Amino acid sequence: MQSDECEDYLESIINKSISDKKGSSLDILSKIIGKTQSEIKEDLLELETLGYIIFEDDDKIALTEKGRKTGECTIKKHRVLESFLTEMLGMEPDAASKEACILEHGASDDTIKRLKTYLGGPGRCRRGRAMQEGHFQRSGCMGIPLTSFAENETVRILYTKGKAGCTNRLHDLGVIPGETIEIKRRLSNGAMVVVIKSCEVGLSPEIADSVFVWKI
Amino acid sequence: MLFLKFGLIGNPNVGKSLIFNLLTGIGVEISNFPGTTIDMFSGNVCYQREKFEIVDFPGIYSLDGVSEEESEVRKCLINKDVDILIAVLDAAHLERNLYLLLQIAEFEIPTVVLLNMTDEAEKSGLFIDAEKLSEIFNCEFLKTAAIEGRNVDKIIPLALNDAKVPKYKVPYDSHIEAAVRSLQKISGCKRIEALYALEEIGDDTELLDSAKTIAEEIEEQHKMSVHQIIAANRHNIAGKISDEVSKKDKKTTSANLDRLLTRTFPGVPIMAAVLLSTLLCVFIVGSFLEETIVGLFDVYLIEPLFTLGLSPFWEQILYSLLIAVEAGLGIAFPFVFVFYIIISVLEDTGYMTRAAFLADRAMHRVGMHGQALIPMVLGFGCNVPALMSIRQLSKRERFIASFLITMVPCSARTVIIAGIVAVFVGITAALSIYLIVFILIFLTGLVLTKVAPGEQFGMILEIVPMRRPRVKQTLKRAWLHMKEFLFIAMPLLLVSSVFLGVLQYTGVIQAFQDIFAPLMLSLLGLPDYASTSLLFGILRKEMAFETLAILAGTADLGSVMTSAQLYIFAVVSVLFVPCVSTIAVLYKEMGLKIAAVISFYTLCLGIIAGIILNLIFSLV
Repeated sequence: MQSDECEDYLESIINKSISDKKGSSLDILSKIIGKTQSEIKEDLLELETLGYIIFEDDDKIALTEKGRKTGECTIKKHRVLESFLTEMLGMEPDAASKEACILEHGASDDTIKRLKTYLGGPGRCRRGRAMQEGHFQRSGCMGIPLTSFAENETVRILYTKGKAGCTNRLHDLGVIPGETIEIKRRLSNGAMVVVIKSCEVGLSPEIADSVFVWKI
Repeated sequence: MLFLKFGLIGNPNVGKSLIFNLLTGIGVEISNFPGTTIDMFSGNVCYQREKFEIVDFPGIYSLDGVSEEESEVRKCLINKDVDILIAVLDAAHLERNLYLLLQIAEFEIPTVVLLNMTDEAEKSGLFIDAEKLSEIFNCEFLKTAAIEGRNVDKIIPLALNDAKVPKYKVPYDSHIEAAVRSLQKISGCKRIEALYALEEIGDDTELLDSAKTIAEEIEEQHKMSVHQIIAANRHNIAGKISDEVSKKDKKTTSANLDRLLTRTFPGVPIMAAVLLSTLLCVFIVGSFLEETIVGLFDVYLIEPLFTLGLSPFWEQILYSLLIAVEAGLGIAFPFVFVFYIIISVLEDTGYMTRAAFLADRAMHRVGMHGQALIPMVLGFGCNVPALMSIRQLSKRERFIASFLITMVPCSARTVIIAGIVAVFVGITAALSIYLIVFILIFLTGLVLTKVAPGEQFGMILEIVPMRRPRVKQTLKRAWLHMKEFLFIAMPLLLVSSVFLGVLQYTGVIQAFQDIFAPLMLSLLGLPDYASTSLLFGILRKEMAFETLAILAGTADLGSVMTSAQLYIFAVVSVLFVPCVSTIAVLYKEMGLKIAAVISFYTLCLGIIAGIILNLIFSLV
């Protein structure tokens, strides 16, 4: 078995809390891996011989120390890559997750470590908004405030900053990272009417200023 | 059978109120829902000889928001204050509306869903598969078009017989799901409680504490707030479902008036013209109705009262009552009603949101947002409905707006300015009073932005699609507002008027006049009867003018008072304490403290302005 496939198995066993090789568990695994149930059963036996898992009482699956470590490491890589893809590159969360699934096997531990540092150091504050801004600025990958765009431009949201009271309303209306918005009207002071999720929303300048976007 | 309670829930502008009106007819009462601070409409509906109650929740975008409406509705759902939910979705904006439905589903209350505005959606070539939606959510979806009345009669039977707990569960981000599971394990709470605890919502401090630690970790990992993650998950699902069930036929690009309406030019001039013509229309039609009604009152009720030969006490009481009814029906009613009809048209067409968008910049200076434009404009007609319409604003804005609206010269004050100053002193002088008032409003706003509690959020305002207003709907909406006025403001007016009547009978007012007359003379340079008429001005603003004429013994005020005195009198009475009904509404909407502070503030403002003017005039 290829090592990526082996990692995929371990990742899924942890993520989906799989503890036996009964029908439902095999079902889940066969969906993720894309193999038939009998093939999965064979693979699981191979994993045992490789020392990643142990079968207890014949049906129960337990991870060995080695298996747990490998699986968790893969999950960590997946998360780092996923957040890089969504936050830095503005990918859709679903697509990012799929992409991360492929990349996680090839990326070295060092690359992941560096990516993680790049994504933001320690000492971030709670409620994350101020931190997001600082984090984007540090990484030199700062979005551009919505107010700097002109009418009829379409942009993709990177992040929003500001107090919970107003960002919550923005989130509820669909202003979340990855969404696209179209600027329908822009007044000289920066107030705008934008189209989001096919609804028109009027934003005052300070709100529009707190939405950071990328042009697509 | 149990007395069932239905709750109408949905986004703002989805036609919820219209459905509510259609279901309940006119038997609507406005009630404070138990334990809430915001007003919710509740009404009764009869079906197969059973009576049911329907509550119209305020329009909300989300159930985990921080606004007052959102938290109140959330509380009602958590406490299961209603038995069956009727969720109203806007078919034309399905995705955004599904976002709320996904949240509603989490409360596990039997629900039926209305896909309203199907007519509008279908006109734009959007077709929605209601059956597929029913399958996905495992509850009934009904296509309605409330404006046409389509399927409205099926709502109650469906809600009674087929309401089911929606089964859809949003699969949240794995970290959120894990956190929810472990919180449930720790405290034995429900899934939704755990979820809200992560967003710092709830009462269980222990649960909130443990949730906070987990939430911090999640936020650290995602570099997003929990609310943002959850919102993103829900939007994703909503988007997916919406794509799955809707079929878009053609893309129609209708000619859009917004090209004109939301631009600074010609948007602002159009807005000014609309507002100005609204005011003029209200003033002209209103004063015509006012004269008619007041005239009828005087001839058929007030004059006969004095011929009855009642004891002085009862005569005074009855007179006060009649005066109050006259003030309510004769003054407020005509202006308020005409105003509401026009405002309802502006609201129904969707113009108001556009005006609010444009006015945002100007309103900002005085610490409010574009949304506050509507109440401020209403204030020119009558302060009472204006103050009633500030509920939709944030707490901070309500605080500021309650001060500023009380100072807006309403139609009754315009009568004083026009009747006293314009006639006896001159038009320019009359206009200068407006200028003084506007400057004071502006300055008050500037000061209040500094001292008002709470933080100022920017404006996030949904611009509703332009629609052609329907006469019936508009009248209904206006009537609904009116009823609120009649049933809330009128009783208050009656009580306070009788109270003033008793005071007058017992001689308190005379005593008041005796004490304050010397003060009036020395500080404001006004004759003693002016203080009495100012006091009457509290009851009904333009009565200050009428009583002044009565007490002066002549309608030709120019012959008994100097121009300076008239000018000062007008300024003082325009600024001086709002009328009883305004105070009563202030008390109801904002509480005793703020009502007292505002009354005191305007009292001081009026007197100080009078003193300063008196000083200036005596120097010149």
